[in-house]
Amino acid sequence: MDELLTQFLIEGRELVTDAQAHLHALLRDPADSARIDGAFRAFHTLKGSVALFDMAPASRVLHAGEGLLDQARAGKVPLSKESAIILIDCIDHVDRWIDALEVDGHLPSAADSLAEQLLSRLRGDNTAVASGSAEPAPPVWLDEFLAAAAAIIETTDRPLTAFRYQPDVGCFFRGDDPLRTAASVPDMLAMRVLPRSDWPDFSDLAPFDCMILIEGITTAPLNAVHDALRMVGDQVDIQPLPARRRARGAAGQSIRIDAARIDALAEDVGELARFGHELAHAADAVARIDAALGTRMHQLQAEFERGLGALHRDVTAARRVALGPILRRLPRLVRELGSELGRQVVFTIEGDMTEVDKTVGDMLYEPLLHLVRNAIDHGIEPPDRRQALGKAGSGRISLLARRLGDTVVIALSDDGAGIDPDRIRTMAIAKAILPPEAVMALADRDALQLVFSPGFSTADKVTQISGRGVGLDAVKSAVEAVGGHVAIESMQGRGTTTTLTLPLSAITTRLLLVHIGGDGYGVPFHRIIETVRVQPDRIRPIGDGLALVYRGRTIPVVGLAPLLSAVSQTEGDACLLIVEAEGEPLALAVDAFGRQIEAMIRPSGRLLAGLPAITGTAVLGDGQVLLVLDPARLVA
Amino acid sequence: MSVIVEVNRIRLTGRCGVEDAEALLTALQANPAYAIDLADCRTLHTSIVQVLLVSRSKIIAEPVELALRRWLLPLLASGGQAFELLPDGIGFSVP
Repeated sequence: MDELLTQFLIEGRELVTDAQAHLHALLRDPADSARIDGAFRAFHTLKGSVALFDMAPASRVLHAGEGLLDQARAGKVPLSKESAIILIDCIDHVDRWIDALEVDGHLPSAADSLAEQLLSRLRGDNTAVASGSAEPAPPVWLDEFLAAAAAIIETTDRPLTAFRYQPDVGCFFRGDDPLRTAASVPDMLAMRVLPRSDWPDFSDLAPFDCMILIEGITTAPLNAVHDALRMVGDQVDIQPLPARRRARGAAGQSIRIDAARIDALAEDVGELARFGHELAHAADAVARIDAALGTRMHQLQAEFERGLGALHRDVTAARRVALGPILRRLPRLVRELGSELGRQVVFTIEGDMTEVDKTVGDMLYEPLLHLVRNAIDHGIEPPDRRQALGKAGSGRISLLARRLGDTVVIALSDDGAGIDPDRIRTMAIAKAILPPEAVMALADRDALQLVFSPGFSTADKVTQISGRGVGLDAVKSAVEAVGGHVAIESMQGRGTTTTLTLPLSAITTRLLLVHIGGDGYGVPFHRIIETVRVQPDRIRPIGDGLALVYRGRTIPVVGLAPLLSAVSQTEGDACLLIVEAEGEPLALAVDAFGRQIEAMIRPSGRLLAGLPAITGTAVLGDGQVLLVLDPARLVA
Repeated sequence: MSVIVEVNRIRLTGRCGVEDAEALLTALQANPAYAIDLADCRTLHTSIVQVLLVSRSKIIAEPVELALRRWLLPLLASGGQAFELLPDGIGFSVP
């Protein structure tokens, strides 16, 4: 926040308190000249302060109040109790406007008319006084919706717009598709779909009656929401939601909880998830004996899973921390390192409001520090060298964090010298990281990833800053320990970007079960971009491999069965998992897709350490141990 | 034809409009334990989402269509309770 504003928020409120104390004393004795003097000084100073900000209504009110107090001070017009009451009202409004300035950055739109009312009261003209407060009470549905969506809304501090769309029962006959219409509102943050009354029994369902109503919250402004819903304007209620109103909701209050308690809660949720899987198996068993009872059990199990899903989301949300405090020390460090090494660096951070799981946040500082050091030490050239290259004298390092589906992606980029892949190859051979022929066979992009190998350090001479005997391999292992992965991209002479992809939730992982050669495996959901079923003839040989043209892109197809020494048992449509490997989409063929489960992944023990593609194991409800695959590493 | 009843599953394919709601309802009433396969589904009319919400059918394959996934997956997962929409353009645009 702007320093001037910070100062004003403190001093302005002190002056408000001051003025209130004097005015309350004047209520008891309106002739107390010391109090009149004190109140005058407070109004006068406050008037000077508010003038620095966009607070014209406050300025006008304080000016008029100051004038009234000045006349009383000079003994021209004695102060009445009534005047003191109006002055207290004035100062209360100024106090509220200071709050609004802090929360919203501007005064509420009603401030102007409120100021006019106060001014006419100060002039002794009571005719214009409106009754009560100018802001209408928010509708009941809005308060309920805000409470229900509190966890989602609190991720943003932007002004929001909420709407409630209650389609007519017969709207389907007019060709309306309410969910599609609602989802078309731009920048939607949260939605809720409620039955108009209660959900009917399945047997009583009338498929052509619209029985739902939809509520939504978006960061889009009021007019954009009006625009998106204009065709159904008669069925919607749209409400602007300044940042301030939200603060009143459930999300506004916070308590400090020992992190260990949240962890215990998370573990309990994990246990419940295991119980859910067992329940599903029991339901399957029951269904074989009594189909109706089995169906009922499956329904109950589904309900349990839904509740558990909500609980899981709440617990993971409670575990999330904003990146801001973790990153706070980095800018100072960049300045210090830059001057130590004779580099000029402009460091920017974007997305510091992005939240990560606490476990991820706890480990993040060291790797980021290491990467920032590397960028300054090995990336950014000295100013004279940069100028000789036609670059700006100051190097740029930027850290960009953002949420992407079930992951948080943190990219650290510099505009420095970049990395020469041939130099990496030479060093990798010299340090015997890989056999020479393997190193030479690597594409440039893959060769760069060698910098993460244990024992690799690109600094020819070990500097005090980067060469602490900890290489980039420490970054890689720290990130992988929490289920993330790291990749580096570089363009010689242009710069380097290191990307950390981290899971949003570090408790349980959503797995898709896949069948390969008669065995089941789990694949973490956050590694899957899409699942696709295609006719086998759409997969065509290209070069010495296979490829699929999908969404206008040619994607290489790799069968997982041979990689796992299994024999594929597939017939009919090909089942493909589209994943990202080294920044490119890749389709992995499996025999069949199974169900999705939530499981706690245990790191693989020593027995499986020789299989790099296995990230760990998960125990299923029936006690079966499932191998969890990391698709990217499988084909590396 | 958008509602296809197979062994153990009902597949919804292509653009599923309001006219398919009754076919889905009939199929589910005849086979209440069948799971729903949305892999090839492009659009899903509100009337069909209602049937899925009330029947609480199990979804065994998620739709591929990004515009649909964004709101449908969290909606079905939460059963209509307040949910967060998936970000736009979850697809190949990994930075």
